[in-house]
Amino acid sequence: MAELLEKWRALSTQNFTPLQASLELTFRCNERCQHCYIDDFRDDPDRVLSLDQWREILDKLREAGTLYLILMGGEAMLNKHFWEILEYSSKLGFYNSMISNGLLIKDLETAKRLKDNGLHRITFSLYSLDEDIHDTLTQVRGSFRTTMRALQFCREAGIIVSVNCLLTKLNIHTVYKLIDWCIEENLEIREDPIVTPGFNGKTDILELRASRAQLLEYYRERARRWPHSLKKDKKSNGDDYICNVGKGKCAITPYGELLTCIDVRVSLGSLVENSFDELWLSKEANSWRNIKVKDVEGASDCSNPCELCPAMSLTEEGDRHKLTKNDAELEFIKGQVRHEFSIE
Amino acid sequence: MNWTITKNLPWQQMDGKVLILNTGENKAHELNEVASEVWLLITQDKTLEEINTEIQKAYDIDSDTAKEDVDELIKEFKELKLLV
Repeated sequence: MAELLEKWRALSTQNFTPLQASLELTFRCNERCQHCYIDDFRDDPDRVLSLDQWREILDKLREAGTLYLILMGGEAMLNKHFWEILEYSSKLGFYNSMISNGLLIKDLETAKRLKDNGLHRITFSLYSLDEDIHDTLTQVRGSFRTTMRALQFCREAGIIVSVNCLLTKLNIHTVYKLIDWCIEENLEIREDPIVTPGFNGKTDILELRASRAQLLEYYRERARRWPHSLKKDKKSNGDDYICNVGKGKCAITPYGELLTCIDVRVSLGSLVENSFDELWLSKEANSWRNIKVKDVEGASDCSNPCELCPAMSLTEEGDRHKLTKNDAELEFIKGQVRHEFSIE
Repeated sequence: MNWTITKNLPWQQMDGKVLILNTGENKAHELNEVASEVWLLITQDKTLEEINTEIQKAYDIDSDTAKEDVDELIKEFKELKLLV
């Protein structure tokens, strides 16, 4: 099964078919995560989409070849049309997943309703098993307990559950406890060491990034447990694309703007007012999808150049063709750990 | 019509082939060209008769062969729990 899905993923990248689409259903949120890239947790009432407009967007994505939908926000469930959108997307044949804090999944009935309406997978943002650390990051007292309860309700309802953990200086020292718990509970977990800058270009949240010493400890433990996970990729000859931006995936903002990737906050235009192809085959979209490793200053020396993010380069360095200082720092840290553990 | 597409069954087409994710069974199915064609006709709510005619025309085959092939495919879709 995995091989077949990978074949389709590779084909979609090659054909520029957006097999995966992230739908930001709203910027509204019932948490106030310190590290969040959303600067204002409100939707502009003049620009928010009607249910019919969301349906139209789903029709267009279906036509464009999308199979996997990721419902997200803010908190996706705060969109007043959430249930109708989920129901309609299931009817069209999408594979629905959602990234959520789970605060609105207060009982088993709600989890069962999600399952019954076609939610296949849910990823919870969980920052630590230490309640205080999690609640400090979300800035909502009691959020840890509510998220954990929601996680159990969803499992009981038969939804596939996984965990995302953004690593910051406040929680990184507790991440292996969380990983061990996920392994015990048979839950997939993905850690992300990169706090991204705010939409409005504000970089003060970057102060939450883990320090070099903390990241060294994190990667050393990875090296002890799973040394293969730190192995270098095959060196690129420079002609590889930097990432999947504008190829096998796309994203839609709460106002219906089409993006080449959730991280690239450059609108290709309104998907309500334009056809998908008109936007997807535009000059702007091409300029993102065609970035190759050789186009990015310093990228060819990286151990995993295809993991670099041109959106982050644009925000942090003002140039999408430039390696960020943070990428260089992570590269240094991983290089140091590889050296210590003799990983090639 | 004595079938319904299984509830909440994700699928999509690309390059003339259909991929169906049977999440309940944790299986993925890539259909061949003819099966994909039949699947797409099913999703358009075509009747069995209309599907037979479309397949007969598309592949330039006689009606008995078309009927036999379509019946076989629908039986297989039911066995795979893609149709109920």
